[in-house]
Amino acid sequence: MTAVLEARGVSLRLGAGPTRKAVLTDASLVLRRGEITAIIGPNGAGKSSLLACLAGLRAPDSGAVTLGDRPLERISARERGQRIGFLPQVAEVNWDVDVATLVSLGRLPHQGRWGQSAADEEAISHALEATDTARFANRVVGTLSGGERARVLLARVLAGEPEFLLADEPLANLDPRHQFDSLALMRQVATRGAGVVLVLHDLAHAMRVADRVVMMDGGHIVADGEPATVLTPQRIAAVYGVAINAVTLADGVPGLVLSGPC
Amino acid sequence: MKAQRFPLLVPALLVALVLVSGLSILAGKVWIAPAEVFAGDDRWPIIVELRLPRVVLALLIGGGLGMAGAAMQGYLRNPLADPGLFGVSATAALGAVISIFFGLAATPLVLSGFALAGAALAVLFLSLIAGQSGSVIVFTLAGVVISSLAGALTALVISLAPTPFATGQIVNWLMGALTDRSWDEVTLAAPLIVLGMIVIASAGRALDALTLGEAAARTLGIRPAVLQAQIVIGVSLVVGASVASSGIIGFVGLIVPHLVRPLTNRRPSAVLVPSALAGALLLLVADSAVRAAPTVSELRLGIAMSLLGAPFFLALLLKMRRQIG
Repeated sequence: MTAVLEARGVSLRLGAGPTRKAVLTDASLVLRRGEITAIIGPNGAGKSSLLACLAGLRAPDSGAVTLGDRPLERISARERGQRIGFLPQVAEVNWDVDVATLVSLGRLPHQGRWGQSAADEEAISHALEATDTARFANRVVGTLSGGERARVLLARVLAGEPEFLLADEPLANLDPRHQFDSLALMRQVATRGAGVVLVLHDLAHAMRVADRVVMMDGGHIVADGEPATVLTPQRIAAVYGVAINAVTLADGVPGLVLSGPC
Repeated sequence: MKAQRFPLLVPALLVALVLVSGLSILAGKVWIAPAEVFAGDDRWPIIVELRLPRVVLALLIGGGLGMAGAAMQGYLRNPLADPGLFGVSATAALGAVISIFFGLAATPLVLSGFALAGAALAVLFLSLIAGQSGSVIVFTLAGVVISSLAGALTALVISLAPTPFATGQIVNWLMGALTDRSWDEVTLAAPLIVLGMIVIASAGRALDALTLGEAAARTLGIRPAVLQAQIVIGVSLVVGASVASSGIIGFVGLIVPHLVRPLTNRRPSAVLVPSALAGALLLLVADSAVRAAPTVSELRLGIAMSLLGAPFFLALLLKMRRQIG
């Protein structure tokens, strides 16, 4: 239960030849289970690249990502699939499968050669319930709205019951109500003991939901800590180039209001 | 996971296969009634030496191509993918054509051996060009390069053919047929096609994961390089052995997955076995039809498949367009 997902001095360059560009420089952070960590930063800051390294999708050029005390590349692909769930930014579904079938794909790393066990089926129906998608479990994915599809894909990751859930902009296609529903769900997942890492663009959401905020800029981690200490007007002005006002919302929760040139 | 939309799909296809196989053995230019089959009739050789190997080959090749097509479509996540896309069928054909060019084709199995060598060469080139990247795009383009190069070389061989007879023989062979195939071709093709199908079937789970895209599949524990190797080896075994024993028979691998997919839950792995069975059925029906048809010289199976396949595929396309539009 105490295994951590850790990046140590991770650097990553993409492209080839003269256009080769450093997208991550010496990034270090420790992710713990039970916590929600929000990774924020302007476009091109390296958020998705960092997440890809943490998910084992990209091997860092230098530095290492470890799960427990083992480097990711020393852990079998299957075990990694069981322990780290990854929700990509692009909601790709290639065949017009039905929702239940799609969500069942999240169990692939757990399944034996001969199909689903009772535990698999339980995890699938649990994920369908938690994301409020069970009622259209029989519909094919092509008939879903963007928001419904986003929830179904989230259910797919939840079905895998990962120790760490890494999601790249999971709120991008959701209306405000479903954004809050998804964040509440992420909180439940964290409470049940998983580490949740979200790349977020909405700073107010990061302020509200995250236990910890990692701020990135130009491939560097520029701040890492509690939301209130990271999301200061000075730092946001420096990184994003926009002014921000910290307010206290009606429910007593700290909020952020942006102001810009128009 | 939901069960197949039609749970009886596989049993129904199996029953159809048994019935059509039986009918195909009895029917032809000479009809042999079931009661006469085991009566020590002097037409027994027609069945054992002519019709039976042909039926077995049609089942093997149709089944292999159907499954290979389903695997290619799942792997490339593209409904227009076809087993020939990697260039394996083109290089296998080139190998066979070269053996005819040098007049070696009369010796049994030499043509098949050349075709298999051609297929193996394509796989070698593919792995050299695409390397360990596991990238689908590099890989598909490498297949296109190999395919067009093999096509050009085949045309070159035809244009250099020593006699009009050799030219005719090559062109005729390229059209694909199961006419006059013997148990030799069956013993050569059967183990290769069956092995290829087993390799393809072992990739089913990885193909399912690819439904979610390459990145998600990798985080589900799929190793792209392993999957690529499984697909290349499996498809090449099937396609190489098929071309070696029958020439190029198109459309089976392209059409059949589309026929069965709506009857399944559309997971790529769920389409594999029904595609194999339906491919076997389709090719057997087509071959029996060209064999029994009252034409002066037998219509080539490859031509029949394309004549049958193209309009059929067009109809499917129009239906798809209506659904999308």
